[in-house]
Amino acid sequence: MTPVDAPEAPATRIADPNSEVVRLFGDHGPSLYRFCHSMLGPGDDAEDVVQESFLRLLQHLQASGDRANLRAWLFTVAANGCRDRLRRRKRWVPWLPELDRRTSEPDSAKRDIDGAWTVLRDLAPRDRLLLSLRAQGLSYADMARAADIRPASVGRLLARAVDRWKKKVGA
Amino acid sequence: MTCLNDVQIQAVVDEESTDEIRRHVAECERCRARVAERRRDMSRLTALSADLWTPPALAARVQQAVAAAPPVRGATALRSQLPSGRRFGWVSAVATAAGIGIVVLLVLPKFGAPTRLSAAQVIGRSLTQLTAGAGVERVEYDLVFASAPSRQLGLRWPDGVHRIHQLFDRANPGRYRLEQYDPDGTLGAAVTQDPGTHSRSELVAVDGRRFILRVTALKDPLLSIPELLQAQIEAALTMMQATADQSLTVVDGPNGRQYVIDIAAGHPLGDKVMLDLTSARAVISDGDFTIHEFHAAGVLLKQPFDISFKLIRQEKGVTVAPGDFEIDARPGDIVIEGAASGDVFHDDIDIVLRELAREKTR
Repeated sequence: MTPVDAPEAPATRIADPNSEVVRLFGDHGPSLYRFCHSMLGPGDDAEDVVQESFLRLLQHLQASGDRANLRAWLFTVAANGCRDRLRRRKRWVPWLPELDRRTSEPDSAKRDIDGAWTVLRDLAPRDRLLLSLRAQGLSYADMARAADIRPASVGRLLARAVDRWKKKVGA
Repeated sequence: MTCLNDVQIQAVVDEESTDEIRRHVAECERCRARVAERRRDMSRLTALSADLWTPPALAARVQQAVAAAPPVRGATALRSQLPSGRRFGWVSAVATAAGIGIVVLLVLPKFGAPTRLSAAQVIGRSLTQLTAGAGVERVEYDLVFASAPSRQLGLRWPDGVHRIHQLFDRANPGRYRLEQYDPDGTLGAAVTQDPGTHSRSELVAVDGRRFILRVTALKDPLLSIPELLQAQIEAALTMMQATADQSLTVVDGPNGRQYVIDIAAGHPLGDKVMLDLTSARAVISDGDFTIHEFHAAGVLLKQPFDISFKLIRQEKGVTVAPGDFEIDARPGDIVIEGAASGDVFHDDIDIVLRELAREKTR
């Protein structure tokens, strides 16, 4: 059987994996949270997936797992976590702040941003995933890994996703 | 070189293109304009999430979770890239079986804390908790009706998300206050009942005007709406408990450790049954087995139903004033009051008709 996570660099045991994970949260936590928020919307789910991703990173480091490109590794784990959450949500209609009209009427700029968010979340899951990954600056190779698609397909699928998003936003 | 296609334009913006393509862009005004336009699109997309700040509590949560995590063996393996060709069926089957074995034996036990409780046990404890307690509870929750149950419960609420504020006296069955807020935040309806004062009040809005109907000298209080809802949830939980294919997941969230129990969509028994459950999900806290989220879909009284509940806030042992189980009238409200006729199901209409007759004969 082919190893699913072939090491790109020799694995070395880290003296203190817990401190390493906390440090890596400082480096990658904010962009990972933005990615999860793009995928799942506001609410607890995005935070939960971020936490789960870093806990899995801790397990990975404790077990002397591959340390090459941990940023891509984290986004791959988070992308899988987001996909699982979205599958589970199929029937639950969550209470979303944007549905709560008791809040004050948003200004037009906020409406535009809200509209762009809404369009992003209404896109097909793979389009949303690719756009959210690219928005966090991932390379095509890392996007392919996180989205589980062939690297050669990333550019074509991303370009189409951008076109669809742009058409719906009305830009 | 001919002008670039959309994929090549995208690659230039994403700095993933070749030198040859970049040179073409430098020389071709049309392609340069297309690159500039695509760059604006991508900037707009990136700007969407750029203003999102990581919640301050998230860092603390992660640090806490990392500090509390037990040491493990075996690195987490990522999914492999898709193969370029088709796999042979038996290879795929063996790989899948091996994967499942690895997940079940090695990976799953390391997510969250292993639980020694089964899904049925968690539901059982939750059922006990649901029916336990004394005194007055104040609960705020979201209720989503995606099908008929609001009508089955005798409510006139439209389908959709409703925020409910509820006071419920467990020591005095039938004593409750329930307020339903529409998605726009307006009070859509309210019901109160207090067997101690032999009164029941209902607030309804018709054509924008609020009517309060007060029934006094109540002999037999109606079964309260909180009790009806609780009965429906209890029935669904009991069915979940008896179902063979529950899945139980332990999740560490902001509210602490929670059990997520799902039963997958099954084959309905048809629309002739009294109660059938086709899918259900419950999120139950580890500590006190409170239900935080609940969703059930199926058939109730031969009608399809789809109901979701999400707990917002819950306070137990609340001190209440006598007026908390009455509806106060505001200026402009029309209040109709009358004594109960003895027929609990027709009290309301009897009182309204009596009032109408009085007005007609004036």
